[in-house]
Amino acid sequence: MRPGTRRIAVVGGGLAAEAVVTALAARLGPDHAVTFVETDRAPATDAFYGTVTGPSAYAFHERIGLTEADVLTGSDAAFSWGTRYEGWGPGRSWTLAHQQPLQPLADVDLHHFLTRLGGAPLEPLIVAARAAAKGVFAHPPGPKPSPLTRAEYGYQVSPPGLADAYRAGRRAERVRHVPAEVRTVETGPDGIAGVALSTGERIEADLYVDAGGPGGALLSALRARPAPARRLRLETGLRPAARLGPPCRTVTGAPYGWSATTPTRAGAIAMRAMAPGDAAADGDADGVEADLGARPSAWIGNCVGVGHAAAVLEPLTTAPLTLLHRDVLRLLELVPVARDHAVERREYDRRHAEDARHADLFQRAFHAVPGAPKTPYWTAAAEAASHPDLDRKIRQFENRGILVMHDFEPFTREDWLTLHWGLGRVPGRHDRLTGRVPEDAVRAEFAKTRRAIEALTDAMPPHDRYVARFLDYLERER
Amino acid sequence: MAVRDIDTVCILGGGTAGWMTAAGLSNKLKGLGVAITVIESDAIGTVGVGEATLPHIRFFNRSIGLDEAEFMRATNATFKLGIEFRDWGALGQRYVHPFGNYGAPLEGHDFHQLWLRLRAAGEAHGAGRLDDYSFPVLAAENDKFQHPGDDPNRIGSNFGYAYQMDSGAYAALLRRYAEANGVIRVEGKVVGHARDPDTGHVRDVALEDGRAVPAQLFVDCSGFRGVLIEEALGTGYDDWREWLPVDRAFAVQCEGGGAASPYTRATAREAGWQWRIPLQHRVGNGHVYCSEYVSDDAARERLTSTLEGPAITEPRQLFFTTGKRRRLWNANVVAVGLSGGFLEPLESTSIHLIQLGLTNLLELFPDASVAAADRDEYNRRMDLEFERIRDFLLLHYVATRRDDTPMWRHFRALTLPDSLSGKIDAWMTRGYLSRYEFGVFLPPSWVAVMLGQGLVPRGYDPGVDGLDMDAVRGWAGQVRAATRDAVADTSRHDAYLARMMAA
Repeated sequence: MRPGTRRIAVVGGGLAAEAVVTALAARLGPDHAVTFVETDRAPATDAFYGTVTGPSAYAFHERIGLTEADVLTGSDAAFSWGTRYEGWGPGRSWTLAHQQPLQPLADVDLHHFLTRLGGAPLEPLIVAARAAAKGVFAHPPGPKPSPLTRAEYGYQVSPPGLADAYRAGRRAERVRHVPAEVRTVETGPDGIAGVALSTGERIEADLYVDAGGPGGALLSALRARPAPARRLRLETGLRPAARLGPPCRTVTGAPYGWSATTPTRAGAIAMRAMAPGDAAADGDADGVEADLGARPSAWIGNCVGVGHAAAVLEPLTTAPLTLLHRDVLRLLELVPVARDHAVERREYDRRHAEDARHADLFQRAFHAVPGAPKTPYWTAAAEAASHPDLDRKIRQFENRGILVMHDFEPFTREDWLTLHWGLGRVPGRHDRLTGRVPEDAVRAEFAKTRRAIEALTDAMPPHDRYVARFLDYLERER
Repeated sequence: MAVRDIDTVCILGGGTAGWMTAAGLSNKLKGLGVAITVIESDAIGTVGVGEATLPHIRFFNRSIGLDEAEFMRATNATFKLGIEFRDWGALGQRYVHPFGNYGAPLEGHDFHQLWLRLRAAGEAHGAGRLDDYSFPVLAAENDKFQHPGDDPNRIGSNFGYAYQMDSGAYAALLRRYAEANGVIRVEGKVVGHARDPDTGHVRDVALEDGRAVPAQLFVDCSGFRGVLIEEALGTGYDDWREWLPVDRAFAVQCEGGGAASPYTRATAREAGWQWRIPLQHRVGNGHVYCSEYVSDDAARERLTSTLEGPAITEPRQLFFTTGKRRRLWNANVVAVGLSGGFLEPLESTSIHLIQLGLTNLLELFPDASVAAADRDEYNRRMDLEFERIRDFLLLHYVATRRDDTPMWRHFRALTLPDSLSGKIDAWMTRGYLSRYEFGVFLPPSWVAVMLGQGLVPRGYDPGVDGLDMDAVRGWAGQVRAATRDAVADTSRHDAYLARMMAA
């Protein structure tokens, strides 16, 4: 072996660990030795990854060597057009559906025309939102232009289910698998010096990956996690279902926090989120709690945290899984070349901090709503909601519908637009340039798009039927 | 408060910035009842910077419906595939910064990473130059050009191109367009202005002949002086000479020695650099220099003694301070063009910055109250663009082994902005490019300049080792052959251009 960072030890278990081990096994050559110290098969805190991915999951899976067929057959996954938020915002229900950039009209962003029409509804113009409402699904076709090519989809899946798919799709021969507990973490001038295991073995590596969840034993040995702004409790259960539900998760706002239902092929995952110790929530005993927030440095010395070891987000949107996927991709791009990790550490930290901040901003925006109940969950969330970057985004949108965007945000302009629109924010002014199209022509154009989308979604099969047929097809192909 | 639309816009100054703004605004605001006035004085010359452009200008031309051949005829334009840099990384070294990617990715790995691995594996693997995998570089080196084909996945179709043109003629062309669109040109010289005591907004500008031109929004295209943005509003200037110390230039036109090449040339000099921009009928030349390190006379002499043909104009001297206006949009005045800032023309960004200013102004077009929110967002976006271009320009001066003159020694001793030093570090360590989404120069541009100026990474992405070596070699060979064949099948630039102009 040539010198440099050649020995990589992943320590932890559950979804983050399975993802990162599979990724390293798929993308690194024989010069690298990957050891997976599996400390826990299915950590309860994995519930904080939530049950939905965004459209970027497809490319992520490809990158780590998994096809869509691998993911579907290896897990309980179903398709997902997005999430329906019920009673979120004063008297409001709306769908955050996946969508490629909306086609402008006369070179002006579509939503300025909606503003000009006094805040006309957005969802009838979004294929995925209409398909979600009807409970139907079909794969968007290739690059040939049609309204459906603008639709995008993610997956509805349980974290342990997805972890199983990652494990099953792995080049296992590339990984030394060591199920054990961590007894002691030895630190030294470079960071981690070694990890002593319950089996008596001592692991040494050039790079340590902490995939040990919010408690992350390795990073915690190097630096304590900062005091959290919020703590959250989740309760999760599985309701068996005779048939697969719609390709859309439902989140319902409640005084104690929120509840969610996610149809998967194993049944509907029911989740409730609340402030810990909120007696009014009437919680059951099977809950799990975690502190929300990100470490200021995700990479310390020779140790990098992925997933919850570096940041825990509320599973209110696709943010937690998107961030985990980005962690893994970022690490793949930055597997160190030398013993000195200074360059990789700086860049990883910079990007992790930006991704975590942008994902967090998007979710904070859910709590920047007027008239929220004065309950522990909503009070704590509202306190944490204020942030100058978010204030600017909201102000710019409310002023005249400007979507302020930063480099490589995990949520797109369309996501932000849907969120603002869903919460009832209509800009005070519309873009002057909308005047280039007469109002009748705008209405006619919108009516045409709506009709095309209705016709298209009417022709799609119900989600359960589509999935059953698709799995049959995959089976036959095999 | 009721929203009141803006119905009067006044653009101060003609020239490239003024007439691009007039053309762009009159195109997009047509039929919306906005009266646009351009105040221009025949007595005040225009600088006419930026005879070389970036590919983005094609979108501008297309958006105002300008036919390419007509535009090229009117401006004596030639095609531009990139910029050839000479003597930057070291004396005697040259490279082309092309508009386009190097090679094509394999299994998600950037091509330059594959190339670095082949190179590390030794001579026998025949990595060759990275340039050999770039269609625009090879085409430029062979004086070839033709329009990209329709299939963006094909080598020979997936490159960008821009123009080298007479920017004075471009302004005249845009003026005709704008006037046909209803823009009113007022001949006159601005000698004063009046401001609204409550809002501080400029209410009107006074002309030498006593007329006053009122407007709700002013676009200051008055050049370096910044008649409104600075002289009236005292906005202030972020001086970037610490990073970009060149402050003067001589410009001269000469006859061309032969066929016009499809690229601009920038040759590093002892105390600055010299441009060469070939048009159809002449060659534009200029020597940009740092007055601290060379006298005006010597700078002029350096320029005139290195022309390839007889000069057809007298050398004209320009003075500037690199940097940008502290707020590009202040009160109801938006500074577009040189009044907003000046980054030396090394990467042909002047016209591009005009275009960006115009695009953002249209997206954030205010109402009569000129909301602070609109200004803030405009300034945030433009500041970011300026800073990112500044870093990229500075890279040219610091990625070098030159220490033969005081100016080059100045750069050797310079402490870089963190944003740039971190980027160079990551590149040198592993060929990694720290990316951004908002900014004109994308990763291939950074690769071109860093590699071209001798910054060869010590390592490469270990992930590339996950690929089979034969597959990497095979892929590289395929890409190189396809690039070579595509260039062989391409017309000569002069012949192609002549056919197009004759049609």
